[in-house]
Amino acid sequence: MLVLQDVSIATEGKEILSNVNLEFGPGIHFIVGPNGAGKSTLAHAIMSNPSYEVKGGISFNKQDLTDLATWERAQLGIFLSFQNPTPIEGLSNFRLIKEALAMDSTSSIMDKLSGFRGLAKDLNLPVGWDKKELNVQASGGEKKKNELIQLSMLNPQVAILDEPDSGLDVDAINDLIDQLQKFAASDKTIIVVSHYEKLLKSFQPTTVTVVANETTHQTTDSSTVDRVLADGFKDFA
Amino acid sequence: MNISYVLEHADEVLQKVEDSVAGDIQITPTGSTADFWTTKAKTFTPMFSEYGHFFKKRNMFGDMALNNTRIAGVSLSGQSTKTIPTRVCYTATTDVLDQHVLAYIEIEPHCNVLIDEEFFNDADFKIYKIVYVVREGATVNIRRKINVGGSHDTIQIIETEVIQHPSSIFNIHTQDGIQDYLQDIYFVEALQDTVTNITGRYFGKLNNNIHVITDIDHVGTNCKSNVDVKSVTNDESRFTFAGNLTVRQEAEGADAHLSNKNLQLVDTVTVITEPKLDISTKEIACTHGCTVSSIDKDQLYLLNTRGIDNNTSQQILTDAFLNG
Repeated sequence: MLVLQDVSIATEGKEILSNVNLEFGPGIHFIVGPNGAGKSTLAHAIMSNPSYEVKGGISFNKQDLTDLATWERAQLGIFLSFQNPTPIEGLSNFRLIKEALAMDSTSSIMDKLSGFRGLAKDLNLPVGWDKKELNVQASGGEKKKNELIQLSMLNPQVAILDEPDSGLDVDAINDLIDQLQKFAASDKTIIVVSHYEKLLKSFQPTTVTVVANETTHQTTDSSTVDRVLADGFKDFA
Repeated sequence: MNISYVLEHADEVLQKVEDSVAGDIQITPTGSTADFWTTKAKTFTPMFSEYGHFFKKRNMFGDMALNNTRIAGVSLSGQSTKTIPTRVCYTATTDVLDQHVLAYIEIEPHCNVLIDEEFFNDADFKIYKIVYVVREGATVNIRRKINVGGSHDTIQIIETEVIQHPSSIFNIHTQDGIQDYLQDIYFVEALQDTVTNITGRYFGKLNNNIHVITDIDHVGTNCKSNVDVKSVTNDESRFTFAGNLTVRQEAEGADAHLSNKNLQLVDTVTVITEPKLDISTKEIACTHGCTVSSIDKDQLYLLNTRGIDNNTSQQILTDAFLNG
């Protein structure tokens, strides 16, 4: 269970969100809101992005995360998929996985490579994807698929996906929905930031959080998604 | 030991020389020797009166090598060597005070050779003037490793002069180990229809001093050159790069590119980079770019979000920078 209690988030002295109280248990959770409302900011604050000043309490499985660095939160099992992942020249897609799984001795490096290649093939990524440089000369869709591979390989307890649908074609969206359904079926927590109707309508969310007016509103009423898709965010202004 | 100390106390510095290591070819201040099984290379002793003009005075430290008039000569030939490297080891000699080396290496016409150069840290102060003459149509690929073996904090001054005859290809990739003091200097004369690629990867730590100069002179038509030098500096190390590109009036069709990227891991290092272009004709393509940067915070954050700690992330990003 990921819990945010009276959290406020600021950057460069300017407060973006305040009075944030949220709980994310197993299941799929949607975060929606108008452009620039702070949805991505919220995702990054949970991961302790150093660009943001975060006050209040964030806990995961009753463990206080306040003093934990980003990599420590990730090692606890929290994963963030980026809206626009940054490229790293000279670092291959597989090397990232290898380094991230360095402490995992449950499978050999060859097994990990084989698993990586299998996922890349399932997602219709080109042969040799493991050797390609991370997010370099990759399309928006390829970057998103690569994030999905990382999610599958790292197998976290909580996955925060920031607009995972952007840049994906119709087939890739269907692959994404399949992957998320498999992931959700294994008692994991998935937090999806999205505006995309098809994605939002493919799941029965456990909660819906609307980020608007410099704060958050969380509800278990899944009809909120339909209301937002029909009427926008004016009710939350 | 730093270079100013050595220069001021040159007479007093005792050259402690370690055991030499043999390669296919061994080059020392007293000459060159080839192991008996080596058939693809022959060694000889060029007369200074005949070959001395190849070793130009540059008003640099490398000129001290001219105190030695004994030239180590090597001639490489044969197509079969393009995948099997010839190992050339630069080692010290126990019975001389000054480790000054003059080496003349000739690649015979239309040959294709691969050379593994190794510079041993087996004396306190070593200076080299190395001349490569790459004959018509020949290709030479050199993998240069500096700081091999030995336990000395060696001061290495390596001045490499390359004379490229028409339609020749000269490729060199330098990988520096941790080096107390290094000058790695290249002068290339590209005559016509030549290809030159110089890549260098340097890593400075502690109070290392690394200085790299590349100077490519496009003399004739249709010469291509690419210089790609990267450095990573940490602690209180110092790295300087000077890249000179000259395109003469007659050198139409030149295609010259110069890049120097530097990654400084802390702000206590010193990095200086200076490109200099001297272009005397219009019918060319020429680019240059020099940058000095720190670890990218977004890249560090991305690795952190995958559970990789800061030290490991920094190591990964350093490797990526050098490999990219």
